Amino acid sequence: MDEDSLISKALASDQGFRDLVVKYTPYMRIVACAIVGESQSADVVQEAWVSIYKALPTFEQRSSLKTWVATITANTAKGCLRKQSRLPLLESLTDETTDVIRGRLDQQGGWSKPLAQWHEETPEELLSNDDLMACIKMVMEQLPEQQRAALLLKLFDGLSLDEVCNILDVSSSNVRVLIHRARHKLLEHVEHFQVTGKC
Amino acid sequence: MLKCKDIVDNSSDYLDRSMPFGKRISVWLHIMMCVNCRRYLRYIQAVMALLPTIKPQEDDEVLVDKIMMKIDVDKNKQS
Repeated sequence: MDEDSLISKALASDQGFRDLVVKYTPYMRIVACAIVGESQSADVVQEAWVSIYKALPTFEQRSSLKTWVATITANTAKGCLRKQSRLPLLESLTDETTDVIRGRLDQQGGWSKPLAQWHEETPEELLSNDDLMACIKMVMEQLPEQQRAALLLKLFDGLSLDEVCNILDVSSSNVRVLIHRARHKLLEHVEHFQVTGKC
Repeated sequence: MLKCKDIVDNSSDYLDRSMPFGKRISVWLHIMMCVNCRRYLRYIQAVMALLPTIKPQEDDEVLVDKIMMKIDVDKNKQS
């Protein structure tokens, strides 16, 4: 069903609106999860849908419906962060000291402490280790908000860097930095798990 | 000739294929010769491949019901 028909049906009946909710909720969940973390994402999505319900009759289709619902979800999520006085941007972008992978290089630019050979090397082998997956999930939740957001939006939604920039209100170069640091943090934790068996 | 530091600093651009062709070739030449950088890039790719399997826990159907109820409540408040 195309967007116009979806919108018309959503405006015409409760069942039509429910179809819209069913279609976009998983996507909005990922956007919300990326910004506020999993524990609060369901609340953010509910709030966002109330706003969408109110605004849909005046939606002018200047952007796609998907972009529009993503923007409303992101704004609701950021409002939620503001209420809690969490300031993700500053924290995430000044988080340079914790790039432990970079700390494994010597002054000449070579590896002083290269990554160890892992017991499980392929995604399938890593995936079969429940303790490791629980560890990765925990590390994801603990990443600075905007690092997690940039990484998830890029990965799950396959959004372009420009779209991620718009949703997060950061420049393209900053999004690259955020994604790079998030990858390094996850890599370091998996490395630690592989070497020590602990998260 | 690139150093390992250059590979580490530019790995995201390399993996996201947002690196100019000439530089990409330089990275490729380096990783052909450097087992540590080869392993670093292989492991980053492996870890990234795991992330799409991490999904929010609450069933989306349950959430859809909650959303429709919340909208009903909101409608009733307004009327």
